[in-house]
Amino acid sequence: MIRVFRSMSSRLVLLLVLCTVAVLGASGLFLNLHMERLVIASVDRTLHSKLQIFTGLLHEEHGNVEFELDESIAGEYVVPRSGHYYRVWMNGRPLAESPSMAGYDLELAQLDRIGDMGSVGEELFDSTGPAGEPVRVLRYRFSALERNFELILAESLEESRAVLSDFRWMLVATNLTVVVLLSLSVWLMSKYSLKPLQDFSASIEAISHKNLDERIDSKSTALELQRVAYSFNSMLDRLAMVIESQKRLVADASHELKTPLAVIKSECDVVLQRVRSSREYREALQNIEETTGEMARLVNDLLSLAILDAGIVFSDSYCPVVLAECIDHAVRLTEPIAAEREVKVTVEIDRQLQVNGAAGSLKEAFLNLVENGIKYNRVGGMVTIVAKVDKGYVAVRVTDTGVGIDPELHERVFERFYRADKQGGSGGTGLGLSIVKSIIEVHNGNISLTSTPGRGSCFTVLLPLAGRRGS
Amino acid sequence: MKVLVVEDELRLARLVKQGLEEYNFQVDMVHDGEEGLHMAEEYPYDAVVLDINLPGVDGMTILARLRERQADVPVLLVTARTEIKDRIHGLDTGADDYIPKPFDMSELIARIRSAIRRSKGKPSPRIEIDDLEIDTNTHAVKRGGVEISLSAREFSLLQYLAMNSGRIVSRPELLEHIYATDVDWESNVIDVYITYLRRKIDKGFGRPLIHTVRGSGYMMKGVT
Repeated sequence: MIRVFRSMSSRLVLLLVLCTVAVLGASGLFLNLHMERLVIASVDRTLHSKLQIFTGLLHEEHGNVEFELDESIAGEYVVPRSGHYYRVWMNGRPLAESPSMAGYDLELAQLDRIGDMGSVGEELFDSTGPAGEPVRVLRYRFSALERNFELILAESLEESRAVLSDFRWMLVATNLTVVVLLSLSVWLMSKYSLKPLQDFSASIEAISHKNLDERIDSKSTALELQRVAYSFNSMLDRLAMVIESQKRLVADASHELKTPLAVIKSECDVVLQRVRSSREYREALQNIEETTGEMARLVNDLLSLAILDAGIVFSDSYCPVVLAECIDHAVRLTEPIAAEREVKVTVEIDRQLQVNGAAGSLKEAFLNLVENGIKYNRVGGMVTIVAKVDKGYVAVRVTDTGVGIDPELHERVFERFYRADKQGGSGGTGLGLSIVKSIIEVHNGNISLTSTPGRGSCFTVLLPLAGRRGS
Repeated sequence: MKVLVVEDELRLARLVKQGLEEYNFQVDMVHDGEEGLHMAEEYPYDAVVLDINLPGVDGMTILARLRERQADVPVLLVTARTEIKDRIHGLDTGADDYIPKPFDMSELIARIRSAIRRSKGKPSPRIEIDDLEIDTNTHAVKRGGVEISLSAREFSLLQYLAMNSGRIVSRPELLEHIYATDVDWESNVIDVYITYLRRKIDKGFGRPLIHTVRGSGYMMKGVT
C-alpha cells in the first residue's frame, strides 16, 4: 500500500481525484442549496398569487361575509389530500375550508395557537399536511369589512422535493462520472508522460560493472531528464575511473606480491631438491627471511594505501599535531640506515608549529621522505629538513644530495609501484612516495619535487598551519 | 640441454639457474629484455624461460621477434600476470607454455623437459635406439637390459645425440648445447667425451650406435 503511494502516477491520480472531489462537492452543495431556494421561491410565488385571488373572493352580501371559490380554481381543492389546501377564519371562527383538508387540521390547527391573533400581516413557514406530506404554508391576517380575517393557504412540497431529489441524483451521477473519467485519463496521461522516466531507469539498470563503459544516450531522453542523464553519465565516468585505478592497483599489487612469493617458493624448492650442507640451508633460510621481510613491508604499504583510499583517515578525526615531533620520529627511526650510509641528517624547525591531522599518518609520511632521502643519497651525503611558515601554510623541505631525479620522471615518482631502480635493489616497495602523496593530500596539503640531476632532490610538503603550541 | 633464463628479479633468476643446473641443464641467465633478445637470437638454446615484465624490451616483444624470425625454440613464459587474457595472448603469440608465478620448481623443470621433447619430435620421455633405452626423466640408461652408469656430462651428450638420432650433429653444435655459453672449450673436448661414451655404450655390444661422420660430426643411429 505504501509502495502504491510512493508511485508518482498514483500520487498524481490521488491528488487530482481529491481536488476534483472537493471542488465538485462544494459546487454541488452550492447548486443544491440554490436550487432548493429557487423551488421554495416558486412555491411562495404561487401561494402569493393564490392569496391575491382568495382575498378578492371575500365579499359581503346582506350583512354576511361570504367566501366562494371560483370554479376555475376550485378543482384542485376538491379532491381530499390533493396537496392544495386553504382555510378562512373570521373573527376567530372558521368561515370556510377546502374539501381537500378532509377534516384534518392537526398541524394547521396547531398554528392557530402560535402567534398573536390580533396581529396583521403574512407569515410563510413549513409544516406537515393532512397526508403527512411537507407543505409550505402562507398565513395572512388582515382586516376587511370591519372584521378580522385569517387566511391560510398551503401547497404540498412533494413535487418540488421530487424535483430537487432528481436534481441531486443527477448532480451526484454526473460528478461521479466526471471523477472516474478524470482519474482514468490522468492515470493514463501520467503513465504516458512517465514513460521516458521508466525508459531512463531501464537504461540505468542495464549498466553494471560488466559494461561500465556504456552511457545513457542523453540526446534521446526527455528534455527534463537530460541534465540527470548528463550527471549520471559523468558519475559513471568518475566511477569507471576509480574502478579502473582500483583494478590496476589490485593487478599491480598481486604482481608485486607474487614476485617475492615466487622467490620464497623457488628457494624452498631448490634447497629441497637434494640434501644440502648446513651452510646451504642457513643461506637459503636467510634469503627467505630477507624476502619475507620485503613482503611484509609491501603488505604494510599496501594496507596504508588501502586505508588512505578507503577514506578512513579523514578530517573529522584530526587534532593538532606538533610537526617537529613527526620529524623527530622520522629522524630517530632512520638513524641506523643513516649511520650505515654515513649520511648526515639536519633539522631546522620552529618546535611550536602545529598542523591539524592524524599524527600516525603524518609520522609515516615524513618517515618515508627522510628514509627516501637517505637511501637515494651518496655515501657521506646530507639530508636537510627545513620548515618555514608562509601565508598560513608551513612548507617542509626535505633536501638530499643524491643522484637527483630526471625532470621527466617528477610526476612518475609519485605513481604506485614506480621504482627508479628497476631491479628493486633498494629493497623498497615502490609505494613510499605515493603513500606520502596520499597522506599529504588527505591533510589538504600538497607535495612537489624539484631536482638537479647529479646534485640532489628536494621534496616540498605544504600543509595548512593550525597555529602554535600553547597559543 | 641448454636453457636461456630471462628474468629481471635477480634472486629468482639465480634460483631457477641453480634448480635447472642440478637437473643437468646448462643455463644462461640474463636480467633485461635487450640482452635476452640478443642471446635468444644469437645462440641455439633448447628452451627459453621468459619473464614478461622486463626492463627494456618486454617478454612478449622478445617472443614475437623470435617467432617472426621463424625461430622454433620452445619458449616458456613465466610471469606473475595470471589473467586468462594474458595467458591467451602469450600462447597465441607463440609461447609453448605459460607458467604463473609463484611456480613449483620441479613442475617448471618437467614443463621445460616436455617442451624440449615435443620440439625434438620425441614426445615420449623414453628414447629407444636399437636395444639402448634412455629415460630422460630419471637419467637411467640401459643397453640390452644392462644398466649403464654415466657421468652428468656423458649423459647430456648421449641425450642430445639420442634426441637428434638419425641426424648428423656437428661438434660445435654439441659444444653449444652441453656447455654453458661463457665456457670456451676446444671442440676436441667433445671427441674425448665421445670416446668415454662409446666405451660405456657401444663397447662389448657388437652393433655400434654412435657413428663418426668424417668431416661433419657424429650421428646416433640403430641398425633398424
